[in-house]
Amino acid sequence: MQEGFSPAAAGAGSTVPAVSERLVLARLALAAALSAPGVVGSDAGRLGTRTTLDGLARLPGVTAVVLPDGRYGVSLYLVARLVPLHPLAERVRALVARAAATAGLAAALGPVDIAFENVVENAGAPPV
Amino acid sequence: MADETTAASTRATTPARATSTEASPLRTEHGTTTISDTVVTKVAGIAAREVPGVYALGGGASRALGAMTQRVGIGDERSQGVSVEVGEREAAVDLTLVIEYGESIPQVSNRVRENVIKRIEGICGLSVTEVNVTVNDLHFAGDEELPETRVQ
Repeated sequence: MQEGFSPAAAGAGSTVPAVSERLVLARLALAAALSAPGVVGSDAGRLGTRTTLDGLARLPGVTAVVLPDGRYGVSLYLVARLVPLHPLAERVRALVARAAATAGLAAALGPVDIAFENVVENAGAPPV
Repeated sequence: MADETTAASTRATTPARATSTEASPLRTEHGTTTISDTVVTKVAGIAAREVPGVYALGGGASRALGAMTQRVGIGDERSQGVSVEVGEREAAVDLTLVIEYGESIPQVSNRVRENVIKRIEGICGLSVTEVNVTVNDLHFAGDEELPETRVQ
């Protein structure tokens, strides 16, 4: 696994600070999950522990943890609309895998665990 | 109000339910899918309310407490009167209902049971082993009318 990987810094001569693969995967996974139709938001939990710190920013509802084989296991905690949840989970997994592959991190991506923490009845309702 | 209880359970018997316990879509090589108790509770509550003849969910105390917590923005009406046990592939649901006076309690209970099973299996993909329904009150039209105030 590369330390200090950054897709933005991959180009020669870039001065963008390097970011670990773990953070990049967490960002990509959360963005991919939130882009899935049927996903309303993410849930950091009551104490906010299901969060990845990204510098001063927070990525709520996503964690990425290194596994013994060197890959990163990603966990997503999501709030969804009232739609069939297993097909939605598979769509989210496919989107995360595609985003990781696009960023050149397909080999670093381990299993993507998805937990549906809440559902909202109305399409316009805010995430809980 | 006399309590009328129709506690009954519905066993999973359809082929779809039988196969869902054999091959779980929850655990794949690409990761696991977890559905929290909150989700199953809400789905069951919403499904129960969809059935005509159901006036409300929950006992008197839980409805009073629910009304209070909703007023301060921390409660959710959809989960009151619903208790679930969620396993890896199966769920069991306990519901407490208030039914409209004049409706057949066994018929409404059966419709609630069918709808709850259908919704939980459709949305959550969990096999529902039992839905226990307790009817703890009847609602009469006009019960909710506010008393006249002395000051106009």
